[in-house]
Amino acid sequence: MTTEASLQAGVMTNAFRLHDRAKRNPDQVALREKFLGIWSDITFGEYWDAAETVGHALLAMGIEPGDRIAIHSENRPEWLFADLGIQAVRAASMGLYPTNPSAEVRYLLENSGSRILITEDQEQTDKALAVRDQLPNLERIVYIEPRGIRDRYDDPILMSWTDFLAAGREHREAHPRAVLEVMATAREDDLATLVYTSGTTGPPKGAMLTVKNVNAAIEIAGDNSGFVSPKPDENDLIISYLPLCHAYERAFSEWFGLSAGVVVNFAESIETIQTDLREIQPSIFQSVPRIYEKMHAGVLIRAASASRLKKLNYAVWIGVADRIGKTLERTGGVHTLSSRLQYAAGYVFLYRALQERLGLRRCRHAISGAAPIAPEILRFFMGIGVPMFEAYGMTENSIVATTNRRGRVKLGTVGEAYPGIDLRIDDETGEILVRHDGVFAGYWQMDEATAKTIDEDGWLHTGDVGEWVDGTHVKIVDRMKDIIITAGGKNISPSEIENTLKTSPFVGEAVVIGDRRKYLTALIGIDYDVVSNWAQSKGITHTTYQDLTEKAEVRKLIERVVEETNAKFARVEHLRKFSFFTKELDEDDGELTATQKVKRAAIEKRFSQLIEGMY
Amino acid sequence: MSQFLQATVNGLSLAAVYALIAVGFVVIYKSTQVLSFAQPALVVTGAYFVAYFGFTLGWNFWVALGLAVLIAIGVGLTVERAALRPMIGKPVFSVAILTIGLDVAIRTVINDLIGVDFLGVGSPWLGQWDWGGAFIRHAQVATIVITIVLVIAVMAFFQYSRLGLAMRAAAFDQEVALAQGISVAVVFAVAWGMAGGLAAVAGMLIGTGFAGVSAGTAFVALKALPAIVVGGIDSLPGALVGSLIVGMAEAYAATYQAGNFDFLGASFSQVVPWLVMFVVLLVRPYGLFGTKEVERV
Amino acid sequence: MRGRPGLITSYRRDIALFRTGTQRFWMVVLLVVAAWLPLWMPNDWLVPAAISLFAAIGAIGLNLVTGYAGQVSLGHAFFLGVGAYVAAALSTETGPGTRGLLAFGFDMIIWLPLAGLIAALLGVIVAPVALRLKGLYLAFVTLGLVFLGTHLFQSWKELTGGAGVGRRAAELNLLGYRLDKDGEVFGLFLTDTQKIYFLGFVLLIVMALVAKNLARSRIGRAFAAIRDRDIAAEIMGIDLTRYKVIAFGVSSFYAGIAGALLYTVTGFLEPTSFNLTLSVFYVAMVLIGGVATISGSIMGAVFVTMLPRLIDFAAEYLPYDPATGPLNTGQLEAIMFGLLIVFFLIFEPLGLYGLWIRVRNYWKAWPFSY
Repeated sequence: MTTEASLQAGVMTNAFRLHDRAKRNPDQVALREKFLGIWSDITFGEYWDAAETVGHALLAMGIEPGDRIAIHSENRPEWLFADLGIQAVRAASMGLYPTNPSAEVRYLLENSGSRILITEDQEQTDKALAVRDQLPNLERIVYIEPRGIRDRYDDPILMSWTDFLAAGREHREAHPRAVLEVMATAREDDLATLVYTSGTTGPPKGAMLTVKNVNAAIEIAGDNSGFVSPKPDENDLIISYLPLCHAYERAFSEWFGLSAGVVVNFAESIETIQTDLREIQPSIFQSVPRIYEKMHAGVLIRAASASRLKKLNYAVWIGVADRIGKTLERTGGVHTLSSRLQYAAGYVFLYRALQERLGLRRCRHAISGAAPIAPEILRFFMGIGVPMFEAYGMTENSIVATTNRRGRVKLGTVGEAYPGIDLRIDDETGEILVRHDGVFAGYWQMDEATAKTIDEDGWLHTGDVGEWVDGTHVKIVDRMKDIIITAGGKNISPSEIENTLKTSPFVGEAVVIGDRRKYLTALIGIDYDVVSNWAQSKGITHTTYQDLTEKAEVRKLIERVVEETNAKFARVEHLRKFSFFTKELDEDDGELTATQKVKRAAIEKRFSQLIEGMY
Repeated sequence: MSQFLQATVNGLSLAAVYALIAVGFVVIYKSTQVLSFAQPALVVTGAYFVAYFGFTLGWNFWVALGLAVLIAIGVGLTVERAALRPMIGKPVFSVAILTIGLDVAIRTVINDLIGVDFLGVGSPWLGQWDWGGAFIRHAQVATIVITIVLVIAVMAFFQYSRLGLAMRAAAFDQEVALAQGISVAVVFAVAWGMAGGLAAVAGMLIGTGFAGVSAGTAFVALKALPAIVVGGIDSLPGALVGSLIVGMAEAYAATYQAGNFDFLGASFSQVVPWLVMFVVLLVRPYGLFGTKEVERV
Repeated sequence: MRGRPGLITSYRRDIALFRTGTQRFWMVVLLVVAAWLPLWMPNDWLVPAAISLFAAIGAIGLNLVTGYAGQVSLGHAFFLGVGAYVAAALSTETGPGTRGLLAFGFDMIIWLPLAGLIAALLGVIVAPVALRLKGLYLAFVTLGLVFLGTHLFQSWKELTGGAGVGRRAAELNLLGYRLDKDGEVFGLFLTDTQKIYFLGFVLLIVMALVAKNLARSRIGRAFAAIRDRDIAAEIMGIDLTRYKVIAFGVSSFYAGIAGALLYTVTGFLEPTSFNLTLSVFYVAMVLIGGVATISGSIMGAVFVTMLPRLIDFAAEYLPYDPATGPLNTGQLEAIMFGLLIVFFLIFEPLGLYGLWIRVRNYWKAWPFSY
């Protein structure tokens, strides 16, 4: 924070963080992207140069502070170049999920009033072009990949990334310090980014995160070792693969990447994440329960189909890992002498190789967030030596609320509030309330919704029901609106049951039903790949997903899973019946959000016949 | 003139021996797509057992020949079943090398049985005719006659018998033949059996023509390879023409080189078949009658 | 990136000789063991061991043309012979032992490269034939080459001494220093065989490195493209003539060097030894070792060359004695070659290298099976 420009500014921004790093260590590796089979380096010098060029290009187009610019792309360096360029000229970025369909694109662009849209390729460009008539504010679409667009589309609204940068360089020639000058005028209440909530209930709402919010998140979670301890630095590697338009990934790939100098490696795609992980072996791994569940299921399946000796080896040492996991659960994550010795032995035979295969061998801190995770999964990873911590946060509080800390882990809780923030649980409703500088400025042009979320005293109403555990740790019961009140008047958290169901590799999706009903039931979606494999090994022929769910053997298989789940819960929480989804849930059909969360209301409506059939 | 006549007859009988081996080779190649370098092994196997039964044990020559042919067929079938069946679908060259491996292994065993001496085969064709200075041995005539008879028999088999038709179909397109209900296993077995039988007869003829069976018998058999290549490895008529060309060239070279072209070295005629092959291949890369391969990328 | 073998940040690293420190470590261990072996090995083991080092050079050569570039050659024995005779003729001095033979008495620094170069020249002459012919027909031509070669060697008595007579092999006279006589090296007393072993050891390392570098360079990639589909390679802009000539030239160079030195261990050359069987031995080395691998060529050469000694060794512990039984060592060896070729082609087409890969994959996939 010693450069001339930042002293003038007085307000630290991400653009300055990048600028400072580029000036101090221009050759330090900032990003890595897999290109033609090689992880090619991008240094902070190149990073800043690209971001500044984007800034100039935006200035050349007449972008003013406060304007919104949309980015519709998979994670890739250009995403960050664009975002940093946007922030440098005090505009706000708005990210769209690559999976967003055209209608959603229209809503988000219209709602945010974006002037410029940066798209990744022809696919995303087409989505915007289809609805551009309804978007009077949209002035330009900048496409990154020219394939399929160049020489084929002649819409004047289109501009290639190369031309866009060329315009920026031209502007820089003419006004070399223009971007730096705008940066220096930055204010704390500048809108840094607009993050749209995925909207499990109504239409998505744009959460406004300001420069102050971002700085608070960096200070609380990053610099003060809130998230990762010891705190992240230049020797750390992370892998960027969750959608960058989500605050969770943005905090890691951009905010912490700039504040701590962590090397950000872009995964090729979410499908190749396993391979990318093995190659990168990140030291910090931010992920969501779904990924951990998949990893866990993958291990179980591959272990089951290993050769005899390997199977035996696995069985022996995974048993030990289970014991180690239980010990760690008891001690809060601190090894006892006995567990350490057991781990050392198991490391030689299994854990080392297993970690290597999962890509978590160099991982010093794995985080699970964004959704509740089953304690069984956490215990599994802790047992095989991956330091795993469940954390809690949301877009509206710049993902800063609580986290489990090294040596003080309590499974089943989301940990303790970060030092220096206010967190309480409402005595009446049980809702978790948070107050700190990271709490967002409100929903974009939705004052009513904002007023419902932030009260006069500045408390953020999270919408999650929580309870204290041992007075220090917070346990999330469920989303307030998801809590099931049975006909008998009993309050039940469906997500806990659902997550326990999902610890079975065969279960991909589970929705517990029972609000105002006599007993609980569940809609279950099988994991098609896993169950299909299992069926093949049992010689059960099948064709489609639906055909597979209709097999008596599959039903028996899932019945066993349900019985095992029931055994872990009290009698009123037992599932009496279950049905299979007749199809795989899909975002395009409005059943899942872009973050793959189930839209309960939509599902209860669509599958109402199935549900009624169980009562 | 008598020298020329002598050389011609020598060449014809040599060509006849090559032809027998070459026909077996082409039959295997056409019906199984295997380039068999194991033919010399089958030749010495046949030759040795004729010698063993007919000479060492002193049995009737025809009985000995019959038994030897059966043994060679047996060896051919075993080789096909044990070593080549698992290689179906592997690259042609791998299979060819594999047959070299088989050849080395089998030949070593037979050579050990033969020992260092020449073994007679006990054939009934011992005399010779004197045609004005040219000595035509009965064995040579027998060689030519037997070859002609066998080649006609093989041709007739392919032309008129049901199995022969099936084999031609399999050679034309294996998959379609399979779809038509032709047992490829039978086709393979017949091809190898036939090649084994022909090789055994050829071995016996080499033994009669060259004063006995020895480890060197295999080298005579090796010279059938250029004959096949000259004709084109997938053509039966080609094999016959190739044998004729190579056999005659070798015989004339043997007759006329000594005294005229001594600088070419003693026993130059032994490498003449290879030289003929070089020349032909340089002019026609697929031999005289070979099918030009059409490649698709 | 230390501890992250999968994180490859440049193509240079991607094609590096050793991708991890572990690989480098084990290579050093292997080299140290190989350098230490001859110091205590009894002579009856050391002789085939030394021969196997030179054979390995020859096998690498064959693997370059056949394994990497896919140009089937059964004519390797011919190029080995050329190397052997060029070396013998250039090195030996005229004297009572070489009556009537070509002998020039050059130093090794001259005759060794020349042996390789003349063989390479002949290889380059053969290469255009490979342009015209493909696959099996090419195999036949190279086979014919062996027969012509054998005939040539037997007939040219001034060079070879003739069949059954032969001549002395090349003299290892390097800059006036005799490598084929017992003597002290750096204060260490070495026998002639030990010295030759070390010569082969150093030379093999150099030649193997050169070959490996060739294989992972533009040339090696062109070879692979030609092997996999020559028409496709041509369409990609690979000059078939150029690369086939390079393949045959380099391969023959290796054969020439190998041939020049192979017989210095036993000290004697006989023209009939460069026959089809010798070619088949080299093909066997490549196949048993592993097609299109340098380390495989070395493994194959060592295995094939040491096999007779191993059979003798094993015989001491087996009820069967080759000295009195119906099959002697040489015959057993030949039969085993034949059967090994068959065995490897059917069960392990990748050869010894393939076995090694299998074992490695077993541990690589640990704790799973895939």
